[in-house]
Amino acid sequence: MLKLRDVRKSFTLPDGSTLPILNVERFEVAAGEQLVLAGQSGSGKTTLLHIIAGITRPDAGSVSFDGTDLAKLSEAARDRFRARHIGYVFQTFNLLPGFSALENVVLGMSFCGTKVDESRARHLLDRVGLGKRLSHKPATLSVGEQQRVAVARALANKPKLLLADEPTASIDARNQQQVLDLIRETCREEKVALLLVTHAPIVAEQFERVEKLEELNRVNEVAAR
Amino acid sequence: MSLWKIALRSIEQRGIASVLTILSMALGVALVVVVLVVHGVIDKTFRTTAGGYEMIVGGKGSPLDLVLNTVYHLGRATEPMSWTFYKEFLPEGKYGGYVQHAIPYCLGDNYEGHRIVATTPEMFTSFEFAPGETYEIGAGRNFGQAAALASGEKLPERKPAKVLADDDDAAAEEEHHHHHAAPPFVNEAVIGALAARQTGLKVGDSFKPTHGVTTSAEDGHEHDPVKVVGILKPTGTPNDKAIFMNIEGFFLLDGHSKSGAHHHGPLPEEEREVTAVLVKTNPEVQMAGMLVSKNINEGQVAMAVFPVAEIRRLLDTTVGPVSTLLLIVAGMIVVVAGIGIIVSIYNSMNERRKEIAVMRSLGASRFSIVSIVMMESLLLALAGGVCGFVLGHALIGLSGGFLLDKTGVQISFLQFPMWEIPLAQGALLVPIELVLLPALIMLAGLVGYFPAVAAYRTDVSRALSNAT
Repeated sequence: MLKLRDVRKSFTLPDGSTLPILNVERFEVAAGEQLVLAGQSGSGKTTLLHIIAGITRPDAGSVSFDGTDLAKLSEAARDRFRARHIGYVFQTFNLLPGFSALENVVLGMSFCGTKVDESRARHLLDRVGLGKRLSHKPATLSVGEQQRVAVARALANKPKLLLADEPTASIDARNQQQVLDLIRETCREEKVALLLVTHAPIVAEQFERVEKLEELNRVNEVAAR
Repeated sequence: MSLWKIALRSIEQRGIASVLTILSMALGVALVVVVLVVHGVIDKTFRTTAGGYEMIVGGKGSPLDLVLNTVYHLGRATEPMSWTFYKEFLPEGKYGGYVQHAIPYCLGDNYEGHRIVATTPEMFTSFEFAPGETYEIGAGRNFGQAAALASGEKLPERKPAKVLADDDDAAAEEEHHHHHAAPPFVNEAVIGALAARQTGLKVGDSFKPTHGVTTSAEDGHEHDPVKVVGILKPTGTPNDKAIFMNIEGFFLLDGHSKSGAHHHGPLPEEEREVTAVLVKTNPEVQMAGMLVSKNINEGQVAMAVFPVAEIRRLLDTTVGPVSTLLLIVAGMIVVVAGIGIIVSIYNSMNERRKEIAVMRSLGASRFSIVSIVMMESLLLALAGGVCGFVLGHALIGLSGGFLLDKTGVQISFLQFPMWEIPLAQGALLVPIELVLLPALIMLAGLVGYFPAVAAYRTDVSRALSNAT
């Protein structure tokens, strides 16, 4: 489903010099697969997720998603593609504080160009255990509940791939496992592939496939040569 | 979820800042509405009302004072003229041939602040309060001779209206004696609709006029009672707040003699004075108005003025520029309020960068984000506009009494002066405040542009990295 080939990304520093961040020769995710991308802080995990999501365009290489090369699409086309096919869960949930739980999920449906399906939003919130807290604003929900809303929002458009960037890092230990289980179960039910970024071994060890970014990313090898 | 709803939620989220922004916009718009409506109503009323009077003749002085005093019941009464001069306008008088109707107009008393105008019944039968608009008596009847006839009294034979100077002593004596005969006229009044409402006077009631044109007059002694015989239907002119009484009754009241001497019975002609003469010229005589006014103005006794011209001059040279200045000031307040919208949205951009980035990650395009910010600006401006519209009309309603006192113009909460937009066929009438709508939309677009550009340039990747 997702195939990255020779993806390279570097940033320009304030002094004008270039800092290479990523050089991934090959990375693939199959449909419905669940895997972990592990790596230390600053290793480029989030940058890679942004490239896969189409938020950032790589300097070189291809990001093929079901045959569509995101790297060649215009920004507007990438936005539309992301809205329809990719869900995103953040470490700090990033719910919009002025919107209720239901509205936050509905918001996730608002940019993909199709009719908003509020019943699906209600169903998803019910699925994540918040069926009775639809009208609650994020500030009145616990951190665990907020992340459940974020999961429901990410799945609102029936994406093919869910990108989860350290989704349990901001949650207390008791809720971490619940949220993780919830993400994995719902992805399975919805037949959504899951690419979960984490640096926590306790999370990584629960997945059959764990990719270490340090091993994928050849940027240091190239620099050393 | 529509972009409009997202913009609305964003406004709600910044509650206090949004309310303050809307309030400042509302104040600016309210001021514009007040200036537009008040100026529109005053302008229209002044021009229309003046159109009901063709020519006014009064004592030498300021032509504008004469018009304001006679037509709008404003300011101090101008210098009076002799009754003899008034008689020049009667059929046998010097100007008789040029005049269709001429009636005396005397001021000097008030009742609870409402000016009392002493005149003849022809005021309501031969004159109009606006072009093509005749007076109608809503309750009761007109005053004057009709009353005497109705009561079965025999009207005295009035002497032919000859110029007094031509009379010999015997005739004058006879005239004098005649005036001392039993008074055929009782003190009767027809009151304006507003005066009736404000004083509570009804047909059949009596009231005692107070000497002086205003309640603050020093010589404020009360006169004998005057009976209300009729109430005029509303005219929308300053005459609604006036009280009209028959001039013979007026001259029967104490203190209205030229010399100040006390007289029993009707006042002799040499003791009579009039504040003004309302003149309708003879349409069969070409240039009658010009000829009469030229003749009068060349003399030393009086002046003749055309109210329409005087009011046009007043509105064009004084009221208009002042209104324009006020409008500019009010417009500047709206612009400052618009800058307030920029500041409000721009200041929130730091915290919004994260929200924008989140929405972008959910698939929102840059165009959607720009649209949301522009809609937010538009909603703030329109909310301020609507609040300002209501506030402006509330201010107009509250200041109605003050305006009535100072300008003689009635204005109410739901007053919408119309703007006439000429079309190929006829004209389209729109409330004058509607001009504000496109202006507000343009302003919102302008002030929304800057924060929208900032939103457009948001680096999603960096904002998300900072957020996570």
